[in-house]
Amino acid sequence: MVPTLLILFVLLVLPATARAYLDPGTGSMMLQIVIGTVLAATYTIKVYWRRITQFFRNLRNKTK
Amino acid sequence: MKQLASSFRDAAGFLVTQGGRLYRVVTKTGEADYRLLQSSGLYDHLTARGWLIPHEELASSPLTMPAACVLAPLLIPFISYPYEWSFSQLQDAALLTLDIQREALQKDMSLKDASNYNIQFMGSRPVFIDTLSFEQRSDSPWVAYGQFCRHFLAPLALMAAGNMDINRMLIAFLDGLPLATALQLLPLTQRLRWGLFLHLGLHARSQKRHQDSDVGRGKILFFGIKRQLALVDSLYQTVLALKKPRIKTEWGDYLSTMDHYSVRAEEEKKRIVEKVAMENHPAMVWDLGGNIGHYSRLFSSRGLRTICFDGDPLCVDANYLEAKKENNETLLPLLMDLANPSPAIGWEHCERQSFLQRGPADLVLALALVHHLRITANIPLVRLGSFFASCGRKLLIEFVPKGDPMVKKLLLNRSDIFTDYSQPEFEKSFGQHFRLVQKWSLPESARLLYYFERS
Repeated sequence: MVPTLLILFVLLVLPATARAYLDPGTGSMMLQIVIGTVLAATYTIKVYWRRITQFFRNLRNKTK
Repeated sequence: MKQLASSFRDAAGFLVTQGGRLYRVVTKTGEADYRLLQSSGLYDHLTARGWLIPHEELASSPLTMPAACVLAPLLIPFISYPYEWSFSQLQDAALLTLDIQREALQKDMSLKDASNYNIQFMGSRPVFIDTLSFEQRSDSPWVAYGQFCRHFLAPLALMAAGNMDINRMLIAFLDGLPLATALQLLPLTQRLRWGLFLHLGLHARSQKRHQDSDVGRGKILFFGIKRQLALVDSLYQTVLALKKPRIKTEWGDYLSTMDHYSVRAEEEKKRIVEKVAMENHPAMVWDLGGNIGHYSRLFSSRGLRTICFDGDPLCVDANYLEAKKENNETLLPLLMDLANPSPAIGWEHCERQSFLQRGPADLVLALALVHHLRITANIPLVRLGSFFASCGRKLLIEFVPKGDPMVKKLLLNRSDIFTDYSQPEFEKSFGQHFRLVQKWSLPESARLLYYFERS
């Protein structure tokens, strides 16, 4: 039980990018985590806003 | 077979030369990602758009060393570096990197580095050359984010704030401008821009806070594809929003205020340069002090590869934007101070080549230039002669004598110590390295054009 949990913990937690030769920098990684949610939210809104305006634009062109 | 002195950091592969040809070796370590680049369709997608340099995958290796795979990439005619680019060139290189990252993410891959040395120019078209920079995507933060901000965002932000040639600092900072350094130089008004506040300001603060910690262990750093795409988009909008500063430079208004040529002299000069272009077919032309590329285009429009060097960043930028509009693949404008040209830098002075190491050209144009080098930069004619001989095999040079209004202007506020600056002295100095092929004098002007060949 405990060994399985331990293995799972190790597999899930350790970073996977062993091949990338660049030192990403802890500060750069952490900032992405911090701003990631906000950026994703605004990006999603932007994408859907474009889709909504495109939908209404198509609608208007059809009814002309 | 020789490994390129500049290609050694990436375990996935490196460049070698053999028999005068360039090859990219893919190692066992890099093979899986390379196969994925092909099988995912990302390679075809990017090369079809002209974004990634195409290559030929060789069926059998011509090399004397074991390799998982050997590629023969298309050659870039002239290698240039980000400290030689104008604002718009660096901006386009940044946007291309982000475009490629976006396409890669959508095919489940990601760029493992975002160095500005991954971009080169085919004429005036930027192209990504590091084929082995792609790795399998994972749900973790972008490993190249810090590098992108140092290599692209920081110098672009400083350039947009008013110093259009501050990217020349990149000579000193081989891995991009450190964010803290860039912030120190960035005016307060620029720091308040949302994108720069995030990706430079907060970024620098985060780097400082975590510089001695190893947070990588024990924390689940989940960063899914939505966040990765959002990050790319945020960076894209930030880079796009940066605009060329509204400044005046010494040569920015050159052509519009050009009053030191009569129409006849100008037409005759153009005729002579065109004649030289038509009678020779130089594989590579260097136009030194070429301003906005007026004379460069007499060559590039004939399909002759031309590099137009100028020390004025506004001129280089205007030239590049025009060439972009023309979809010009034969003309590359670059920033270069001929009195202090790019040195060889990097490990063992071998990672980036100096200006002269990338020559010699087949033909060098030095029009309306030599008086500036002699009088403003104070370089003796004899030294100029040997310099031009190192630049190229043939030289079309304009001699501007002391009676000329432009030279009078240069000598206005200084004592005339230039005793060697006369037509006979010019012919003697250059005669030491060249033999004269032809000489013309321009009508309604004291200026002369000389066509030399290296002896």
